[in-house]
Amino acid sequence: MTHNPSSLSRPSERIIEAASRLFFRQGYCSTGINQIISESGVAKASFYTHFPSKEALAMAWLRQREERWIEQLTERISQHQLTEKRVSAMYTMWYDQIREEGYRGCGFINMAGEFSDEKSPVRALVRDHKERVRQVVANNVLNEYRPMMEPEVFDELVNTIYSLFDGAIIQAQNFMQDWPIDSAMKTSMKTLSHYRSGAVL
Amino acid sequence: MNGTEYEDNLEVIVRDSLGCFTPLSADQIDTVSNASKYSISENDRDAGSSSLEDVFGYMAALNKMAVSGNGICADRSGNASLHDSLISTADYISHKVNGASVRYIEIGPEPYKTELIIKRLIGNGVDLTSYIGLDINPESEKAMRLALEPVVGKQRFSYKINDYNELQSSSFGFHDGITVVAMMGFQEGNELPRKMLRILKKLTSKGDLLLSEMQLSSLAGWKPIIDFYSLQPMKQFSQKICERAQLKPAGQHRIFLTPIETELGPVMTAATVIPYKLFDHHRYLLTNCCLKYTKDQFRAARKKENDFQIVKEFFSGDQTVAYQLTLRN
Repeated sequence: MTHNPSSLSRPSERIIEAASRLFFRQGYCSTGINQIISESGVAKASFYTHFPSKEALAMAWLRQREERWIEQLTERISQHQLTEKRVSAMYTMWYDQIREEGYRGCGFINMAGEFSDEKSPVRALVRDHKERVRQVVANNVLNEYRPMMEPEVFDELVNTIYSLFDGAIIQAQNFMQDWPIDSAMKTSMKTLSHYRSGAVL
Repeated sequence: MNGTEYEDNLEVIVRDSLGCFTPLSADQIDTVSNASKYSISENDRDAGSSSLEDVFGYMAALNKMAVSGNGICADRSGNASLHDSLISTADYISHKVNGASVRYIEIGPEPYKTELIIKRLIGNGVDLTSYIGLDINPESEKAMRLALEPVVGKQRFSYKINDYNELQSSSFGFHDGITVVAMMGFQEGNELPRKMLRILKKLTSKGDLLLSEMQLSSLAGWKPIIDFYSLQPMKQFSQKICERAQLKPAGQHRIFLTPIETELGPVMTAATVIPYKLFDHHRYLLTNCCLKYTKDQFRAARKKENDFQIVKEFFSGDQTVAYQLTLRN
């Protein structure tokens, strides 16, 4: 993909765009501030005006990515009435992400992996993001099931579907193939069927 | 099968849903039409007898359990069992007809609930001029006569052996009074909403009261539905349907709740499939499928084209079964 920093008007946008590309391609630790400044075409002073540290830039990038990602996910889900089709729609996010970005896995998990300190604000932001995805599964995807189940059984189902969904992209990245996503989607369908039939897995 | 036939064919839609949303594969599942399930087949004629009496008997056994008065579907205090709800429904009809003579037409008759309702109507002083049963299964008439002739009188009992798709309200003749058309045993769930609405419009005339019983998708969860299809008569029913299709069951039926898309939104459907073996291939026969509307969907199904007006609803204490009374506009 060609890159034209000047097409983005605001310096902060250009910085985040460059960071996004570099973090995703080569990782957070391997990306230096000077490289980001160079690729974004902004002055060093301007960079530090917007982002006092590389970690602050990472946070801004993750926040932006999250907003777009959650918006896309909920949009895809809302196009379907059936809970089961909503679950399928979630997985189309992964297929499309792979087509666009390759087998790069989850940008949030990749970033969290570069911060060994569990109390790091980046790790906290990634945890919050994953919790938000789990809430989307509960409220936007499986909500029709909620009144039909005991609360603890519903939570168990949400956790299962969420874990299958979110784990699939990690294994697709690992094997650099789509089958973990196919497999997780089929297992999600079987899981829903079991829960509808009152079976305990 | 053309597009319209597919759109109207609940069995095929449910088969496809099972293929998408359960561990079964759609190409492993065979379907059988209601007409094949309940009407005399060539095989029955060759054998000189049929198993349709058994088929009717299993359904009747379920209804007998329902009205046995032991608190089935009651709330936690024991109120509003199915028995109580049927009595309330009959009392409301008695009040609603306001002294007019009543003709009672039953689509897909069953003896126990109907006997309870009709006894109550007569006990309430309703002038019941006739009972007409309409069933595709010819073996049901004997049991219905045994149950109802002592209640309504021999002259007032009549029966039609027909597919309800082939009849219309004029097929029952003229009645100077109020006609109650009843459909019990969750039969409304056996057709897609648009098809059922077409059937009900044809079978009723302006001023008729329509009574329909529906097992609901309710806040009680899916367990009551699964429990219902786990009852022994339902299992026997599946076995018999498999045998009537000249297939040898390879086990007991499996119960699935599978969603389908309808004009009323997503509707959960109970489906029973029984395994059988064809040569070396493991296959399944879809023996029953029945829509389980929510309360709102049941209302919307009737209101859809403004041909019916809901006049009263009764719900079992556990909220799993609805009795809906509507007036044909």
